[in-house]
Amino acid sequence: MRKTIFELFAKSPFGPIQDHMLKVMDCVRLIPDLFRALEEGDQERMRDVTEKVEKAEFDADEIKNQIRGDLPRTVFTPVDRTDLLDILRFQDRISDVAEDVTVVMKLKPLPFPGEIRGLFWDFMDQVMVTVEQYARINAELDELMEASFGGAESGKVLEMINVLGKMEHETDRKQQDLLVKLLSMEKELGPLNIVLWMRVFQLVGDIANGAERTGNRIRLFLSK
Amino acid sequence: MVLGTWVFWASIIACVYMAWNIGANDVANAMGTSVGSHAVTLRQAVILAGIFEFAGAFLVGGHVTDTVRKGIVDPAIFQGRPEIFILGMLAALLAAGIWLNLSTFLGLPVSTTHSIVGAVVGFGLLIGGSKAIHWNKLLSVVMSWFISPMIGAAMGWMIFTFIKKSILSSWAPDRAAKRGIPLLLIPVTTVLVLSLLVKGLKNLSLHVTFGEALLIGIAAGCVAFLLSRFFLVRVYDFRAGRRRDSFDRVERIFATLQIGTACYVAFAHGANDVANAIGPFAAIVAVFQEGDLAMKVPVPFWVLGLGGVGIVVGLGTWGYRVIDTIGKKITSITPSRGFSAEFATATTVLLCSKLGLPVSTSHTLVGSVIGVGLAKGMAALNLRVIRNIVNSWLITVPATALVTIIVYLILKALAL
Repeated sequence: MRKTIFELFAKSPFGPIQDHMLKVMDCVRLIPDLFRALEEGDQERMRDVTEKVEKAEFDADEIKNQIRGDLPRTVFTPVDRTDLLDILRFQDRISDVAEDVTVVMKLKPLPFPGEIRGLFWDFMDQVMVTVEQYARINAELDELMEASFGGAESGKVLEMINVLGKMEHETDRKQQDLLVKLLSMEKELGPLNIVLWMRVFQLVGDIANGAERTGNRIRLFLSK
Repeated sequence: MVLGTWVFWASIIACVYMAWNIGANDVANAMGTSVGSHAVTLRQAVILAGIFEFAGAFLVGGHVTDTVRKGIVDPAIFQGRPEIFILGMLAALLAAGIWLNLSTFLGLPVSTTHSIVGAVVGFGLLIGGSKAIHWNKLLSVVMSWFISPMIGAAMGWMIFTFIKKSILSSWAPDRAAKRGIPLLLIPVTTVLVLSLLVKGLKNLSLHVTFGEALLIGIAAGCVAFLLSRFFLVRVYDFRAGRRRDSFDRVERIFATLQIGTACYVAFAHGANDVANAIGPFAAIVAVFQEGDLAMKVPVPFWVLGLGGVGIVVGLGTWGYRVIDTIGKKITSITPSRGFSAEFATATTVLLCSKLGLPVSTSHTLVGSVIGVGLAKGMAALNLRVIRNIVNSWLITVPATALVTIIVYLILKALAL
């Protein structure tokens, strides 16, 4: 079609950033399944879950690249363009970390002793609660755009981000308890398994850290 | 006079062709945002545009037409040799049409207004030299091309900021709308009525002074306040719902209001842009009627009507397709934003029409949309368009001037 003044209306990045987060959540929500399969000693299901995580991570990457391509420097957005790109990068990092969890789990069949299971699931659930909270904040982006990033809607999102911070703090605490328990089992597990579990805890915890970091970036959009 | 009547008929064809061009391509710029935000359907857009483009052209089109036909080039220079003036104006009309088609083919966002002004200047320079041009008037016209997008931007920013502060920022935007929208309609209706009344209804032989118009405008504003308040309280029965639905309801109200601004834009567009087609033609008609360059005659009604009909035919035969394409392309505009941008555009363009300044409706719209964007209203705007527009300004005036000179020399060889 011929060029008109309506080239002025560029593609909105907000919907696609929400789509991207949906894909990231597809990826993250599979992680508890991975450990449930480990608990049941179901190797085949672990492989299956790993494949699904890789697929979702790849899809998220595709969306990310598409959005970047649609946001050249000449596009004017109501919030800073570089902040938008940062949020996209941070979101994408969450699914990268989720994929890294599956990578570590593939290295060696890890023993999952009954003594740490309770604390582990406490920790895992808290991570999921935290990342779901960020997903809810992300789902407010279209409303924020409609309210043009101010007023009551902005206040509501700000409060959600504060809650997110508290949730992440709680995750850290649970991770600490879990670590203490793990280290007390050095004799039974052996140093190699301890190191691998520590790496797993770290990565799972990073999912929550990533969610908090991304949420805090959204703070920059909000005006009083 | 030595000219054959074929020159007159050629002028009519050139004029209708130009008007057809405006209807086919330009009207889409006026209606695109309304269709894009789903405030009106394609069918409604075409019908409303048809009615209001014609009304604007017929009722207010005369002011700008006068500027194009005698404001920029001094007709007195051609006293005693009217045939040269006629051929020159015909050449200007043809050249502007040729340039529009060429630039559409090349994909340049060229304005019909800038084309016709460039063409008239080119003809004036060729025949009368620099003394034939009213440089002061030309300067004010060119200045208005810069200023009109800026006024549009300032107004778009103000209207959207008001909507944001009074409605969208609220905890319950739908309930806030019941207060905010009637308040918003007071200045909006006042400005609308005022801009229609002042110098507008001269063609209907209704004379109102500015003071009277202001009083009527404010009265209309108050009526709009009461009526909209009544409707919003009675007809829109908002039950408590999710906030998401609350925003939807606010946008639905704005979609209704945007039907009004869409008509307003079409009216303003018709008022300003009809001159691009009939300005030179009206000049030719005046000479044919008087036998010489007696410039006191007003623009005849049938000429204004001819321009209006040409626009409507262009809209009906081709323009609706362009509106459809554009409407489908713009998905990121919601009615509250479209309302702000359209009201700002229409008011700015109509103000310029009253002052006899031929401005570009589409460039003013670009300014208004950017104004809404600066108030954080637009999701993403590609500012590269601004560069394309400035480039097209720089090219259009010299290019149409040049094409006019060529066309004039050909016509002269044929007719004299």
